Amino acid sequence: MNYELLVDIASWLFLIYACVISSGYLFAAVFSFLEIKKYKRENIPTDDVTLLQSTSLPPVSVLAPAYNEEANVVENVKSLLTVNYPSYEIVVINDGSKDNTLQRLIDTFDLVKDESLRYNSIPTQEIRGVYMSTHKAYKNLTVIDKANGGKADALNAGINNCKHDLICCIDVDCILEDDALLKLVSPFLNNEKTVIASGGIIRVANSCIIEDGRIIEVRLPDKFLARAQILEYFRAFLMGRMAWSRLDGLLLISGAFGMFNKKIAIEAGGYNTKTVGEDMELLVRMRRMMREKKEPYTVGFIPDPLCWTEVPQQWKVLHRQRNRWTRGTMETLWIHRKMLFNPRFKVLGMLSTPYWMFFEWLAPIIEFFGVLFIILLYALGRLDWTIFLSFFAVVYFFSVLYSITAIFFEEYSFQQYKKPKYIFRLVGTAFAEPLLYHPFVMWAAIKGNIDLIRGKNSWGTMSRTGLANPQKKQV
Amino acid sequence: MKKKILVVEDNPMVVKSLEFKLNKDGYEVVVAVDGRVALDTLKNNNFDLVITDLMLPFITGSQLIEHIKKETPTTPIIVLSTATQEDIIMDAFTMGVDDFITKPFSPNELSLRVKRSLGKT
Amino acid sequence: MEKLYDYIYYNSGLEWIVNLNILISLLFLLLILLLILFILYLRVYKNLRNIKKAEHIEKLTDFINGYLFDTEFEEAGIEEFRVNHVRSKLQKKVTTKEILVYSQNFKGEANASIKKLFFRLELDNLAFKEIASRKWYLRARGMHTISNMGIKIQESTAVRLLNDKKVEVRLQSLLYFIKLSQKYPLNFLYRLEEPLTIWQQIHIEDALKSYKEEIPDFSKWLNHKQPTVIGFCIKQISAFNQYENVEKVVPFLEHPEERLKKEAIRCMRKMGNNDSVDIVLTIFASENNTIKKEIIKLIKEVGSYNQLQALSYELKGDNEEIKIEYLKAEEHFLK
Repeated sequence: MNYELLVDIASWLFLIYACVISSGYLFAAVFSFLEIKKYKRENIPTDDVTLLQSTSLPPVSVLAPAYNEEANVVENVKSLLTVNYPSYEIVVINDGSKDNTLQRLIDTFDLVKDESLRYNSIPTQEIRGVYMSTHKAYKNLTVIDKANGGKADALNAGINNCKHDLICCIDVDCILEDDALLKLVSPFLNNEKTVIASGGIIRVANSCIIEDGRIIEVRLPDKFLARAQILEYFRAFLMGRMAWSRLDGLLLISGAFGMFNKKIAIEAGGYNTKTVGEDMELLVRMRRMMREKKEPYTVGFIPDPLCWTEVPQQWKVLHRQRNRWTRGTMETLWIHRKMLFNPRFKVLGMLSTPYWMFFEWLAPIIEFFGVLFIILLYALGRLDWTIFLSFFAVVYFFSVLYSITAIFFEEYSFQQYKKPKYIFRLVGTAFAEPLLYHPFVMWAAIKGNIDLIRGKNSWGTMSRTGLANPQKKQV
Repeated sequence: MKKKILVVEDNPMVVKSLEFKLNKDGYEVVVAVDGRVALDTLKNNNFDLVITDLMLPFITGSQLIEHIKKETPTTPIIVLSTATQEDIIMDAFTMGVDDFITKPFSPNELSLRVKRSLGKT
Repeated sequence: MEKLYDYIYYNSGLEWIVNLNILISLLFLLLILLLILFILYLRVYKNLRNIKKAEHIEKLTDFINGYLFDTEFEEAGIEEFRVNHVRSKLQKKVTTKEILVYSQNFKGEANASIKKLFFRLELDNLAFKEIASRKWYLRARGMHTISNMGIKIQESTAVRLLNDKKVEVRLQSLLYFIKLSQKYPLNFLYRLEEPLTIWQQIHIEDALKSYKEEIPDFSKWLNHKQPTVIGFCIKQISAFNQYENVEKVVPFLEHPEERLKKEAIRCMRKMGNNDSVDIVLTIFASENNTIKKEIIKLIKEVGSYNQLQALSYELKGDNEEIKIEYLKAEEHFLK
């Protein structure tokens, strides 16, 4: 084996991959920066009074699937009822919970069964009953009780049984900003092209002080794991999605909070119950359908934090989540593999899907084989430490640079972490993250690939601590 | 004895103006920026009048009104809200509010209505 | 560059790639440090600016409240405030914004006073500068101020901004026309060449609500070349109960554009026009589900059971969705 040649080839491959990633990073940074700047400008003083009084603001159906959420469902629904929007309904879908989720809802909100006929555009698991409230204050609340079928199935049931043309799919324990619905609906109103969906920025709620369903104070979590995820979310939202939105190549609207055009969602077939990445798969399918029908359309993205969610604080739970995300990505890419490098799908085919394939899906695999390669060299006594360390330094500093850039964007735009010590801690986390966090996530992704090939297709259980934080007060 | 008014409103500019004007008119004004603070304040104080918005953080305006009507049914309530829909206004009156003023509003008119509502008790 | 290349490729002992890597790493590290410094700078800068802004707003609200409600307020105070506290760009911007908030929340005498204050503080100069700016967001902001404060500008300028290439500027210009027009608030529609977005429609509706003169005859624009304008007018005909215009909307029941057809059917429903039922019954069979649902809703509200029964053949077909709609309507009649 010609060692020199091997190293040379590996070096060149590495360099090429690195150049591609670096230019991607540069583009993402530039586009995101321009997009943030543009959004800040667009925030001309609009008449909030006007909007809230308007009967023309399209009514929205908020769909919230719930499974075994008896601890928090009542509180979450109560907070959803106080959202600032003139006309909306809340549809909670009890997906065959094994606990008292349904009973708690019935008791708190005085629900009774509603017997009117309903048409199910999308097939779902059995609907056991639809409940509405007898109380005037809760007249826009509907609860659907159905047999268990998973999140996608629950959302489909919600789609079938909701009144309005715009649906907003959320995770029931997500905390929304006051004007979240007003902001999320704006792309649907302002665009000359048909808008099929819109999404916003999701923030990490861990350790924030939450009272009665609202964020009182934003705090940085003490746990390294949560902080590392904050960095990840910064990178993903402030640099990733903003850039993609500018190119109109957004493939994913977060399942935690997104708005969709109901008619088009139904036309596309609703959520796919056979994949664990149902949020991504639906959007890709909707986009593909519009493209195939040659109808001009766009996907909106609000560069504004609209929703706060709890992220896993235990390694085991995080592993399950990332494992699932990888399987979801793979499944979606496989289902829509026809789009890859297909010029018919424009940005989606030539940029978005290849990007997801090479950098979101393939990257962990390449890394893993890289690591194996290094170990092999070491075992053969052929590892040149200087070469290895120099590569490692490049990769390490690049990762740190990416995170710091994301933190910079956060400072430039929202500055939600008010205390300076938070920023310092985040910078510190950025230095530790590539060493302590990233390998773990990479391994979870590899495992996801393996599991998918072996045929696993469940969600696994997400144990939620219910956004528990010591400062939570009871009213 | 100065009459005590509770103002429940989350718009900082409206709050400050109301406070100023009502103080000028000779009333003592206490401010609550959301439903929860309002409930807390109501627990520890007696008010001669409550002015509240309907769209408040934490609890809905209607829930606040219900609470006041239960605890201190004689306290007059004036609603100051952006809502103009007939059904919302009717609901408010059904719940027993004394007056309903829509935004944008005239501060002078509000003054008169406050005087009138206080005069009734 | 040559030297760099030489250095990378031929340096003593180490592979060229190692040198390159070291160089790149150092570059990255440098960028990291620069960014961190920049972050610190931004933090400090923003904090200072926010403090300044808060101080200014505090002074401003005290001043405005005093001006509006304090019977002992002195006129001389206005000039003094202007000279001392409305000088810098930031101060002017913040003051304009706050005055706009006041004018949006107050009506009547307070509103008139606030507008007077706006001019006394000479903030109209800033607005005029902004609408002539090359930056779209300044043009939009300037127009927003001008229309809210009721300032009249040259017609040609206003029309130019009405058809500005940026939709945000167009929105503010259209609001200007509505707010400032004496008798014909919607005549600008004649000169509108761009589509009318829902956002704009919401704002127009709101502006019309506070319009004191006669509401215009919306049928005037039913032959506009923009379908969005037509759709909007149909909606407003029913919103303002313009019964005399119903017959002009009838032709749209058979219009090829689905959106307009839907609006026309809705209009008939809201106006209680039952002559239209016979027309829609003839087109029912060839329509898609969205339109069919609207038609059934129309019959339910203004039609008769007999007319509904003309559609009973649907019960034998396989259009599940429409079957259910039919049954729900039937339930309503048989109650």
